[in-house]
Amino acid sequence: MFPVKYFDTYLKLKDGVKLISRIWIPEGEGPWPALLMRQPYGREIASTITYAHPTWWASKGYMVIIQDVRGQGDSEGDFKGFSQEANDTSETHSWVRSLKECNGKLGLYGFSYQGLTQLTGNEFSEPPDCLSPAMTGVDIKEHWCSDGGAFWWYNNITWALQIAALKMKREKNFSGWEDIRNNLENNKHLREGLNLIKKYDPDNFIIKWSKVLDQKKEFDEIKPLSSWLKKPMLIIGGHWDPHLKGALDLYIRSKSIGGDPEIIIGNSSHLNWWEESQQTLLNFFDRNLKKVNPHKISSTKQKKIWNISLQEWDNIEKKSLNYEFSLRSAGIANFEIIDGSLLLNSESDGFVTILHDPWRPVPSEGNHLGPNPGIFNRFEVDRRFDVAVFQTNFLKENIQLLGIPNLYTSVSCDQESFDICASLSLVNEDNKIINQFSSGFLRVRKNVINEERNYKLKFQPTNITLPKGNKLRLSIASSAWPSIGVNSGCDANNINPVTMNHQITTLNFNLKNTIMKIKPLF
Amino acid sequence: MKKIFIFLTLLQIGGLNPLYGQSNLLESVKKNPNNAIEMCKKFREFNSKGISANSDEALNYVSRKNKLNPINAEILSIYVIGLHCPNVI
Repeated sequence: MFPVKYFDTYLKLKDGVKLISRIWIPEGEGPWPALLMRQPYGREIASTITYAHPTWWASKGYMVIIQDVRGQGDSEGDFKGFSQEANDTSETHSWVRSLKECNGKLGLYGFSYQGLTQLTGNEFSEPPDCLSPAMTGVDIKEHWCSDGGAFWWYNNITWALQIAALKMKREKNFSGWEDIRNNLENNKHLREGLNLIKKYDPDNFIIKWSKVLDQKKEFDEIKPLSSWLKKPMLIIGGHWDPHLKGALDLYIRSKSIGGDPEIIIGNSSHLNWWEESQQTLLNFFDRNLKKVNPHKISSTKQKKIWNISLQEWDNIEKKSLNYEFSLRSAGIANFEIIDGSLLLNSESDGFVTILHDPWRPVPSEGNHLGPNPGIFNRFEVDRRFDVAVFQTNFLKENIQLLGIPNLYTSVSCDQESFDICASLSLVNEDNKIINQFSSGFLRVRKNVINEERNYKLKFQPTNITLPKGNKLRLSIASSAWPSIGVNSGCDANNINPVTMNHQITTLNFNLKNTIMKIKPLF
Repeated sequence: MKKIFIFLTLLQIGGLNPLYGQSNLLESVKKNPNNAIEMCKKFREFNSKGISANSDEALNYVSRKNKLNPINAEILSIYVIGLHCPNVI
């Protein structure tokens, strides 16, 4: 085993707060290029749920610094979430570069919160030499909080409870920690979660986000520094990650200011990555921080996206056809599969009516927002009469959907707020396996009751080749629990678990103006 | 009755009931081929500058020209391109 040692140390910030870090270094003579991760969950963990342990990175010739952010782990101060990180990040960068073990080269890594801490810094502060933000984004509303205005119920409640439990641990509040843990283990958190967070961690940023969304206020803006986005950057995203749109947005932002970022969208959820991810990341850091072994490391920039069905990588900038599908139903696409058609290059027609009964919302699983992310067989879900199903005939040739599916549709509804929840699935030859591969959500608010309006729903970006002999299915429902909360039917105060005041809602879809178009990723 | 007529006339003049109605966009495109062809011409102009017909810039043009909200402008663009200029990017 390559000899590696570690020690804890701290940075005293200008405001007097001490941030604790654990540092791993190879045995022997330094200095070494540094890899920094700033995270809120405990420096000992070092995000090993998705990254190799720091001993491995150190064994490859890096000094690894895992820092507890302000107010978390053993660091001092109060935790305030993203808003605290710009200044602390810049001060930490200067500190790391000044350490005697560091050779002055600085690379950043980490996913989710740890991805965001790579993107915020004080204006004019020196950029890192390279960075690899993973499963993250800089728009709080669109990349951290909601899809189509619908709050990420399952994801955000469970995440906020994790943060609240860390707070209980820090405060040595045994009963509070137990209460949160019991609710999680008994699955009561989906109903009680928001109240638990309000009780134990009332300043939790998820509470703030839910209020801002509900009250239609402006979210805090995170401004990534242009000078940083131009540096060598490997953006990592996943098909089954809620932050995928954030990863694609980072790529666009960097390119728009003259950067040439790398991007990999893998067959991964937020917490479960593909096998060769660590070696890919190591190659990126070796290329940009060591500049040694140029012949052994591929210098090709990685710009690829996983093809879900073919199980192979595609060039993410590959041009693909912008397929358009029309929908037809004689009114019972929610009862009979044969009634709902999905047609290429045709005209939509007909109608369908679906009901939202808040007592029995349509369950939602898989893809990017379900409790178990990934492909999900929705055979049983689609048998419900509150789900309308539109399906192609057996495909006569392979069709690749690479891009962002968009559903445009006309709806009238008898409540002032309602949800449209849509899923795309690959249907096998005997109609028994309905592999849902992309989902999208839209929460309509301030609806003019019973007046027909056109709406647009954006799905999770995707890359799948629909094989000849299979079918494509579009399923439309008006709830998706617990991926998003159950709509109350009211415009205001609509981010809560179901109550007896939730309204039964009827949605009438006029299919004449309904069309689904696959738009390019960039 | 007279009041209703005046109101509807004002809507027409004021552009609140433009060429393309709320829920019959496809039919409207079919009935107004000249306007669609003009839009195609503009889309090609955008394309020649490297701007996609899906871009915010192109959709803003459609929205302004036809007095449509952004979503209806997108739907209209899809129909116009599909029916009259499928080679537009």
